[in-house]
Amino acid sequence: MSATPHEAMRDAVADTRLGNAVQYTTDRLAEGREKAWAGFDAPREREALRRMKTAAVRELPVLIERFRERAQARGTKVFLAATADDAVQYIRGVFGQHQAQRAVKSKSMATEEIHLREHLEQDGAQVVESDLGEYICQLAGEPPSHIIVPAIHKTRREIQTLFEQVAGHPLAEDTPTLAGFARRHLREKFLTADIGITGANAGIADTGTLMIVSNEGNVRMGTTLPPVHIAVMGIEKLVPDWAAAAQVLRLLPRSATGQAITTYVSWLTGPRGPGEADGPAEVHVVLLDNGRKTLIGTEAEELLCCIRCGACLNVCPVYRTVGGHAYGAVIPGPIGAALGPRLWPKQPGIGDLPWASTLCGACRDACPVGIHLDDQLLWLRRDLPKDKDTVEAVHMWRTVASRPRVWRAGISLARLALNRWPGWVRTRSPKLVRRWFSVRRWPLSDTQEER
Amino acid sequence: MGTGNGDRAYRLLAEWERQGGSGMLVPSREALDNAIRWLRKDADAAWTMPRVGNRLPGPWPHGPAGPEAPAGVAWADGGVVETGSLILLAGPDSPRAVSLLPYRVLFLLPAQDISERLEAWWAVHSLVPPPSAVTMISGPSRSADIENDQAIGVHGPGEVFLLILTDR
Repeated sequence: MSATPHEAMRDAVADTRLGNAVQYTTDRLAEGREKAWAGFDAPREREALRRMKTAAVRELPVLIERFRERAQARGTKVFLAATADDAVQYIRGVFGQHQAQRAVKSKSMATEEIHLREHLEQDGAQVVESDLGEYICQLAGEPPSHIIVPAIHKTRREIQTLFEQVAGHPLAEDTPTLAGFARRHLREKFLTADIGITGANAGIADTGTLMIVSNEGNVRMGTTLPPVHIAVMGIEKLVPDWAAAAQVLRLLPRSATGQAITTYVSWLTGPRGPGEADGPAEVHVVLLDNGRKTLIGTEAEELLCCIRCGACLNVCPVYRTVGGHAYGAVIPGPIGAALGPRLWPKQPGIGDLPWASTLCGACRDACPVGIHLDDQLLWLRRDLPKDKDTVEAVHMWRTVASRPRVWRAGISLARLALNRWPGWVRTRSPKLVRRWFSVRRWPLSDTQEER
Repeated sequence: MGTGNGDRAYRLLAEWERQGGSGMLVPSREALDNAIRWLRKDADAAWTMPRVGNRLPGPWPHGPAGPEAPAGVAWADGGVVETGSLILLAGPDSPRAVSLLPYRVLFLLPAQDISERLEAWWAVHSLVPPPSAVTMISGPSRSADIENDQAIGVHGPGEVFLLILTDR
């Protein structure tokens, strides 16, 4: 991994294969989204979802209490985790109680946020990612690079090699063979797991119900076979009732993959009922705060309306160029750049992310909740501490740009210097000039064409 | 065409097929026999319900059980036209695994239990209090995680056949 977001982004830009793979996938997802939204009253649905989510975020303390009460009434154990560490400790406790050694896990941004798998592995437990893309990333020892399509950056050949190492024999590289291997191998894990770990796409306060979507069926497997189910969800996923969750369901798959609905939607309330042959005997829900409540009532509040669909990633010129890893954060793309610095300001390098944006606003247009992501990034640029170079550069810009004659002279001079001594400008000129032109050409508009 | 059961059944099936499932409307015994022949493509005991080691002791509603049942038969409690979805409620006679573990699953759905939208189905069929699991199923298990190439049957069933019973 590269040391800073700046370096990581520079490396990612140079990696053309990665760029092509990311652009191909994000194009496909964005096109799918366009199709799925055709014949659908998008502005009305979007406005309705935004209204519902905004109201839910503002009454979060009430929803948390109601969810806890109703879920407990159905036999679910609910834990409100103030910090990532609290969540991890609680889950460790559950593993300890059951002397659990083996767990199967579904894709979940909340578990990524608390680095749950790494913590449990340190304790000696085997935690297998069951989403095909996450499983590929786990075998490769890499974090996911897209919140919906985690292995966007891996080629078929790489996947074939990773699977062959697990299988211990050669495998053909066609999709049915590779997917079939994963099915057989992971099924064994499901059948022997002590605990199934999932996220949740919505938590319904009225009945203490979880709504979880999946296309592969791994969420169903993990909530049907193991005797214990642990769900980890951010508190902002709470909604008042089933109708509100249905609103989320109408826009989430449409925005994420362009599907009208995912193959499976699970609405889970408590452990298995009397006389039922399957389903977990014990269910834990970890409601993760980890900084979220501090956003309520601030100008960043709308970030809590995010339903984690990934649509903003797919249309972002920066994400499409560098992919997810270069952000060096749990959530990449515009939403990650806007949410990360607010929720986890102490994470090294995270304050640079709001600058990884062209402020083109494509993210806001794509967002099914209409979050003003470009404004949010701009406000962060205003609020976050800036390094000395940036302050100097802005000061210089202000001085030059407010004096027409100086401005014109400066442009002539710059043009002359770049034409005559381009090498000097890029490597030897004063630091501010050098930094600017190390990644940009003249005239400025060319930079938008450049990858 | 009106908005009667038959029309809804037809449109639900069209949406189901668009999502990679297959199926038919069943007005006659002959059609049902055809579907059963489809199910018996696996010669050995296709009707068994899956049982998973000692973990899941049953009771399973039909037939002998083995851990590797090739096919399952599951009754759907409802259908949603808008998204081509089936709704299955978990209960003592309707285990979750039957519609999940086998590679091929036959779903049976009475046409009168089909609604246009999810919310409309809820309005007719009370979910208060909700069962332990309400599962919506829309076609076969799928993934695009290998170079965006559609893979079928990744964890759940790869072949799903829906019989909508129109005469009841």
